Amino acid sequence: MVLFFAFLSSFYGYGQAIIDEPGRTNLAPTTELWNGLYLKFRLSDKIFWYQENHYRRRSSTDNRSDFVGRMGQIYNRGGLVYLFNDQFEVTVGPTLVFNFTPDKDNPDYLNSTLEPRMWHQWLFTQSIAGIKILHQFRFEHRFKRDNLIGAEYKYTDRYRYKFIAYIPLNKPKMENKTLFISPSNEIFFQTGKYQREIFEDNRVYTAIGYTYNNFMFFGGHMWTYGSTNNPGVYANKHVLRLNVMYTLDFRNKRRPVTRSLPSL
Amino acid sequence: MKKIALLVAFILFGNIAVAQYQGQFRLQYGNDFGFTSGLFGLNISGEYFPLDKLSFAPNLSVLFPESGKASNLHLDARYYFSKEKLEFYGLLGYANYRRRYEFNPEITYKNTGTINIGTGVIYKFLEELGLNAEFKFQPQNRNEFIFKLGISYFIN
Repeated sequence: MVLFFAFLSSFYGYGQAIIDEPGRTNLAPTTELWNGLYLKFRLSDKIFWYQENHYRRRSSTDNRSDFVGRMGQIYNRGGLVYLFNDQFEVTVGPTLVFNFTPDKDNPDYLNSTLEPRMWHQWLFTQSIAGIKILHQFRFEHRFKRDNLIGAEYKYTDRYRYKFIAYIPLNKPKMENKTLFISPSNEIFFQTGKYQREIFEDNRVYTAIGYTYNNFMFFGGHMWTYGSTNNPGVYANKHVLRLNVMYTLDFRNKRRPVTRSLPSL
Repeated sequence: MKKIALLVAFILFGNIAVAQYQGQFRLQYGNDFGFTSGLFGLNISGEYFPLDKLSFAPNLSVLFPESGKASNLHLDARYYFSKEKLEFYGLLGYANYRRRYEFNPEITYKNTGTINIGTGVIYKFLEELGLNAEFKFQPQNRNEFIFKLGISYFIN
């Protein structure tokens, strides 16, 4: 028996190369500060206009923990929402992102580049014991380029799923003047001619907030972990997020001027 | 004679249902495409009716060339030959096309002025919203033919 196994082991390594598993390199964490304005305007019983505008800063190249050392992005997203019912709505619209240079003193970089996208989203809402839960499926089709002069646009498709819970702390359910905590997790996948890895990013976000009349003030800490342009190299960030959401119902505010003269 | 003329005028006006837009504001979002340059763009517009059937509609297109940046600022006047549900209009205006080239050579900004001549239609599918299609020709300097498709929101 020993001789048999010794015989077998002599074949070990023949006809098949031994490949070491590629190592995973995790870069040191960086920091960012994102400031967001969210708007939702009700135009009719079933149709809304939704908009997000963000001012995003990121840490300096020589100080990863300063949050605001460099300009990051100016992010503008809008869309028309169709409300099928209280549990399901669909949004379609454009996004225009301004991506700023990673190094302001380097003449090889453009100060900013445009990143246009079209996006669409399904949003499912459920309520369990006063906790509001959202399942957000978002799809983006984007044209993005590097800030290096002469860089080409690359097209990618992006698939995102976000789970969000709104947990009221001082009221039985989410309503006016409610203090709440909102944990969420969003996972990103991407495909495209130049993409080597389908997993793009994962974001864990814990926000605390307060609703007051038409406003929602919320903010918190987000940790992101995701792939980079270099295969096997992953980056992570700590992001402070400060946001305001404003909603308005235009249905009872319109005073149409279109009118007809009465016929005799 | 005067009484008869007044009566005729009163009957005529009384029997015509006239859609009056004076004082109306509108906002529009659309996407446009230039057939000569091949540039696709994102367009936002405001519209105000100082007179019935005549509006002023400034709008801005942000275009997406392969390199550099481009935009088109339009200052258009529109005249509506319309019914209330389906609104046809003709337009005349001025546009400034701004182009920045990144390299070979790098040109910071190049401005080209031209007039706009065109026509469009708005289909009002809801009291608050309409679908807008527009054709526009820029004959001077650019010889550009632009098609735009968008959504209009009737503010009032």
